[in-house]
Amino acid sequence: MKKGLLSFSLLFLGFFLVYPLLWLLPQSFLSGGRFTLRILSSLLSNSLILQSLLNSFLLAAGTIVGTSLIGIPLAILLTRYQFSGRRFFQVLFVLPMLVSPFVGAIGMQQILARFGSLNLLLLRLKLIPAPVPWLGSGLLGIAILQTLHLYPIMYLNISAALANFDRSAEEAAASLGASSWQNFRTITFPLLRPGYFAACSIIFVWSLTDLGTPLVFEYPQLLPVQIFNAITDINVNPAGYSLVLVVLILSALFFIFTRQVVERTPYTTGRTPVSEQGHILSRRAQKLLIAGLSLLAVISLLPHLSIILNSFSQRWFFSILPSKYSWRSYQAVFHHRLTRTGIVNSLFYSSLATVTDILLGLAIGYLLARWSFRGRFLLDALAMAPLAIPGIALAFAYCTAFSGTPLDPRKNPVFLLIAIYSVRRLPYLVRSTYANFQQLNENMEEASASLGANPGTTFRRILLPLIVPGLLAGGIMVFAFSMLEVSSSLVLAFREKFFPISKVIYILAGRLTDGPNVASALGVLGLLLLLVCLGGASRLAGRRLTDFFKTT
Amino acid sequence: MDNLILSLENISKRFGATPVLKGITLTVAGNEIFFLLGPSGCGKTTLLRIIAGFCQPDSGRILLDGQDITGVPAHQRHIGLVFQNYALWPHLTVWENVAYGLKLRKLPEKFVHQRVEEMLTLTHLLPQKNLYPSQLSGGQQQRVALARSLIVRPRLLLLDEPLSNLDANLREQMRQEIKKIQKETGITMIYVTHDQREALTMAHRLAVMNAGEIVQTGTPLQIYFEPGNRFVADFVGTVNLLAGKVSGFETGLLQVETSEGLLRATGGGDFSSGQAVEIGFRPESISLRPGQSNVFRTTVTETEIGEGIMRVMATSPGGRNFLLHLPLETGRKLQAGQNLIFSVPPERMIVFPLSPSVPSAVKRNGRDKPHLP
Ligand SMILES: Nc1ncnc2c1ncn2[C@@H]1O[C@H](COP(=O)(O)OP(=O)(O)O)[C@@H](O)[C@H]1O
Ligand SMILES: [Mg+2]
Repeated sequence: MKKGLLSFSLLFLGFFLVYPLLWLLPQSFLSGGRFTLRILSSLLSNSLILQSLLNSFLLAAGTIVGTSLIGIPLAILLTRYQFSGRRFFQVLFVLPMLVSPFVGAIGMQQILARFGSLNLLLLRLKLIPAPVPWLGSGLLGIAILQTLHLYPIMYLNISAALANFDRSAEEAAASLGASSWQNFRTITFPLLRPGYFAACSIIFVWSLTDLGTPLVFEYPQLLPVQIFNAITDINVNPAGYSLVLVVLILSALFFIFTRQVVERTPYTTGRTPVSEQGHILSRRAQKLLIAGLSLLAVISLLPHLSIILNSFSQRWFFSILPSKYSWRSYQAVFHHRLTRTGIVNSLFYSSLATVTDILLGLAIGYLLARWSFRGRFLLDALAMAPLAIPGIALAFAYCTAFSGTPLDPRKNPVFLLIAIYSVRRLPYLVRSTYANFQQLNENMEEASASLGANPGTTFRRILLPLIVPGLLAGGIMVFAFSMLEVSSSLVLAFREKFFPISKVIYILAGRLTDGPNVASALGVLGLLLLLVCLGGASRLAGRRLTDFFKTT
Repeated sequence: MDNLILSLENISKRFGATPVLKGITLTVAGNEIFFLLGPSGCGKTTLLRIIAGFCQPDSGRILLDGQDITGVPAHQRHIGLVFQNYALWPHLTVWENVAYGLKLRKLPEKFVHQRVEEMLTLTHLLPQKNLYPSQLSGGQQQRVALARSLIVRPRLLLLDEPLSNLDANLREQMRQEIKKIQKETGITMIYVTHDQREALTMAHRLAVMNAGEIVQTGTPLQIYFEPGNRFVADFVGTVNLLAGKVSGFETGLLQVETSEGLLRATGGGDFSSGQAVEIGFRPESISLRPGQSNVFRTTVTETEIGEGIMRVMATSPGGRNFLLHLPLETGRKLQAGQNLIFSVPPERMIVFPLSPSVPSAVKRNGRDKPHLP
């Protein structure tokens, strides 16, 4: 039984994770059956690619700066100060990370365009003499969107670090005469560093591999877009392999680095957590703080607000807000062949991915928690590996490794889409079922066995009922995230017949006339689905919503 | 020993490099409460888990009614186990927890209903039948665990420190109940504890374990009054011990030369002259009437009230401390500084070979222990 589960899990991971990734190696190092570094070095002589690499690093660095500037003060304010509405804001500031900035980008174009809402508003208020090119070359716009999407990761990590941090360390420094700034620089920040680095490396990799946003902003000189474009002419130009390899190595390094930093920190565990109280602020300070936080909330939810507006707008030219509203886009969503296909496809792919993940998560979580066997480490590593593998890299690997086989995504991507959705979310489910099994005392299973129940019966009657809530919650999250999965959907779906929602949104966003409005409506529906799923899942699991986003 | 039921033959087990069980051999007869008594970490739980089938011994055999069950999986052994932490299933009600074992056997609904009701009545749980484990008190949880195991009438019921999580009053009450249930159901029980009082009051027979070995097996009376070595004497009750040397035999009495003079004890055919031994007596074995042998002249140093007795500390001129238990009425008249002469009848003396290798037991109640030089 256990052996069967193990072989099944390893087979799946081997076929859909290890094999396609290993496939990349010979492609980037072999030419005519010989080892060569020519393909790698050809990257350095290609100015477009060099420029893209540089831009991508710039973008990632800018996003880190942006998220730090927002996330760190936010975390300190929300954990260290007491004011009415604090709980509300603590949850509110997690919301921006729910929807991929890819959808928000559609709405933000409307807001940030040369004669978009923002410039028109500022012009009318006579704050600026002429329109400001917010989108500039496009890079700034992408950085803004990514920052607004990713700062919750910074905020969550820093808050977590602050929560198990002994305040007396700061008080001791203050009693020795350290000023607030000295205190922050010499005591607080060093203690927050592991959490900060963890957040930085997640944000860096995320920003570096985000495909959706640059595609919507039509900014091609970025690494992910180059990879995306390389797929079409991969047979004549092997540069794509090397680019993916670069991305993979970078993200693996960052992943390992993060783990090291977090694990090697001696002072993050065993600390008695400080009381959650914090300073009580004066009335005036409270009002100021709440006003500031509300402004930030509006700004960071702007992408979401903008797509909601966009989805309802029928006419929106040279005006701050739409001049005419209607339900037309929503009607279109349910009547257009393209959108309907997308919804049906995504429902189908995501459901099957969810079932696959529940079965695999159950099997692997059970094996890891209840069986010590040789190769346990391997199974654990494989199941967690997708955390370190960007979607675009895996999707690229699928495209090339399975090209020409019956699974070729150019012919029929159904299998590969289901596989990639489930592989990408598997770590979350494995981790949660593993934790679930660990919390269940093994004696409960033994008690059942001692009454004569065989292992199958014990599993069905004792274990399963106890872990079903957690499993369902995990499944719901897999479903929601699969419905909204961007990069792998964009890469793997070539034919309209097989398009999932994200690809439909992308195609619509590029169309003139009402395309962006219908895309926005589809995006809003996705957002609603996600909110409903999150609500259901957190109720089922009895956990706070933010737990699903613990990234390290 | 008719109706032989369980025998363990030379069971050994190591975890990594540390041996946890070192060749356990044991026989448990039908229809008794057999106790395994030993300090924490001596391997009691491991032994129970091996009997239940949750753990494989490295060597040795387990025979149940003459049949080798060493390789039989736990769920086919028909041996019940009550866990120290109860291990109730939190998603099932009291009724469902108890009915589980019967439902597995696909018995008729009516029969299951009747048996569960009987069992809940026996364990006083009928009013709680629809509650979930988290809604029960510790004692009630304990009884559910018991009922759940008993209802399938296992060939053997193993209990792993079942009362250690209850407070003292409840523990006393549950001891009586378990004894009563055992009598009524006739199920053979192996009961593990580190509490010597529990073992002495409840056991038909008991085995004392230390560091993965069984050091003595016997009835509570044998274990208490005829401890076979220093460990048992110390771990079960309290004893005043003196080192000595066998000097001879006289009229059926063993004579031992000690720092307190010549002491005499009955029995002991397997001692040889000149052998190094330990000799002593339980605090309550003394008599204040003048005796012919084993007379101690002491001075009272301290007295205190115990449970139904008076605890008296006394010192001999040679500086030995003795702990004595006297009837309250006799003892209350004693005061520190007063002379106290007592004797111990030879048949109440305890003698065993000196065994420096056996570490002395760790006692929780240190005050009970006389200071022996
Ligand atoms: N699964 C295990 N792995 C390693 N060591 C164990 C394991 N189970 C028990 N031990 C060790 O074996 C010894 C005996 O344990 P146990 O049987 O639980 O003792 P007891 O029940 O008498 O307190 C202890 O030192 C314990 O640490
Ligand atoms: Mg134990």
